[in-house]
Amino acid sequence: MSILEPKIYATLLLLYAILVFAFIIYKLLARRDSKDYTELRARIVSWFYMITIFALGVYLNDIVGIIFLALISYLAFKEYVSLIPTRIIDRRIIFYGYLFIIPQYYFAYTQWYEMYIITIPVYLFLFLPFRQIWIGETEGFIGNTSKVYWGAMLFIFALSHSAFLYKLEPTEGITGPMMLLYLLFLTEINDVFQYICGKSFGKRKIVPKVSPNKTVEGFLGALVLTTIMAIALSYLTPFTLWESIAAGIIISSGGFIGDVVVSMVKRDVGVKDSGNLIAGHGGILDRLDSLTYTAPLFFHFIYYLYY
Amino acid sequence: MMLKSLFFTFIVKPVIILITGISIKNPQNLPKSGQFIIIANHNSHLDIMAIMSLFDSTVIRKVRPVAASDYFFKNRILKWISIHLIDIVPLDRSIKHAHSTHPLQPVYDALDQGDSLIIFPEGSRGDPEKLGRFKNGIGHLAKKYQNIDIIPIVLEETGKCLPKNEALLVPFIIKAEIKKPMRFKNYSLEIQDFVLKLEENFKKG
Repeated sequence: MSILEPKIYATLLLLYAILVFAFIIYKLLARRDSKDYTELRARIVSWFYMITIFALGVYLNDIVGIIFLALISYLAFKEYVSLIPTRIIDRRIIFYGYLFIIPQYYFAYTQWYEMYIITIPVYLFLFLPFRQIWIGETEGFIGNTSKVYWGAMLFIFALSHSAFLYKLEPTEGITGPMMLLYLLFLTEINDVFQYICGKSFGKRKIVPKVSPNKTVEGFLGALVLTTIMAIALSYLTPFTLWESIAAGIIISSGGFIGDVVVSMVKRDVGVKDSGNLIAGHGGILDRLDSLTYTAPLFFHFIYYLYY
Repeated sequence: MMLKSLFFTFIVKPVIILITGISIKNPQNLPKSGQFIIIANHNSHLDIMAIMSLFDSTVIRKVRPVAASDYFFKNRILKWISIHLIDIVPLDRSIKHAHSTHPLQPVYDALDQGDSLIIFPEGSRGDPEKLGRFKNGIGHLAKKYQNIDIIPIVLEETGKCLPKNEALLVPFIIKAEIKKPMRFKNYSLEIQDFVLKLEENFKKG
């Protein structure tokens, strides 16, 4: 029951306070002018559900928490394989992508680092082509093997770093669930900061061909604000001041890259949102895109420094 | 049909939403009440589940899929499920026209007592993700019941999730596009041409 830890429930309450604040701003905006704010409203309401589901899923029980994180990986991978063009015959190797979620999160749960870190990068990598031999379809072999492997790396392997982080041994009184909350809080609020800063004073496009809405100003503004948040929230980590500044920079810039990488996938396929699971936000990939980069980067940062 | 409502609300819907997921295009075309006939392309056993998961538990009671009795009544367990949980309208494919009862009689009966139907005009599950030719039965039905809306639902990916003759389900998000309702009387067409008109809804872009 890590939700009973003061640092965790206080931070969750802080999140709800931010949401209430955002909702008041929405109300004021909607009253002042007649622009359509229904999407903003849907976004805020969805955040409320997401935070609540996350808090209940992850902070009540360890095993439930790992299963919950595995389920998120499952939904992300499913959205990815549904988004990209695949053929009927590819379903068999896609199945093994799904299947590898189980050992991956199991090793995260048992904290067997060596197996955890090689299961997908090495064993799935070696297994998929083998399974392809067995199917015997040579046409499109390189393309579809790579597609499945790449998706498994990003949406299972990379995302599962959150699960390994969650089960880390406490260090200096700081537990895994606290560090996970730190990572997710900063990753998501960095997205929000980029959006707000970009909208408020964004001028120069940073990656015009991929995401026309992303601006240099949005990126830099979020970098500063997220780093300030990283310092403010460092009570959830064992970090010194300089380490939390570094963590802020890693999460803010990593989050930006993850976001744009998933945008590249969506551009390639020709869709705007990856799905319609979350009202106002699009699909689950639209919410997890940044985390695909921040989870492994932040994990290895902390793992190198403290383990 | 209490059992059916429970089965769909607590088993089929959660399974479809969590395991595969369903993405609905034009949900506003979905009827909230009244009598209607849904026609859809047929590639998988998931098709019936996916379509029925679109409806609320109050509507679902009166929505019955038309299905071949030689397949769905082939053993006792399947028969029990088909009758009590899915509530199919059994269609006997072996009856020929020379026989005393009309082959579509059970379908007429169901419509006469006010039920809504799900019909797969291709007949049986075809090759995955390919559209087979529609049978003329749907045209005769449309002509006989000119005041009932026919709603085409285009399903994608169900054949990839669970193709014919496969037991392994591989999750993909099912796409369901709900087209505008059609009635036979609004088109001055022969039966065959109306069937072709219905088929057009399912041809890609």
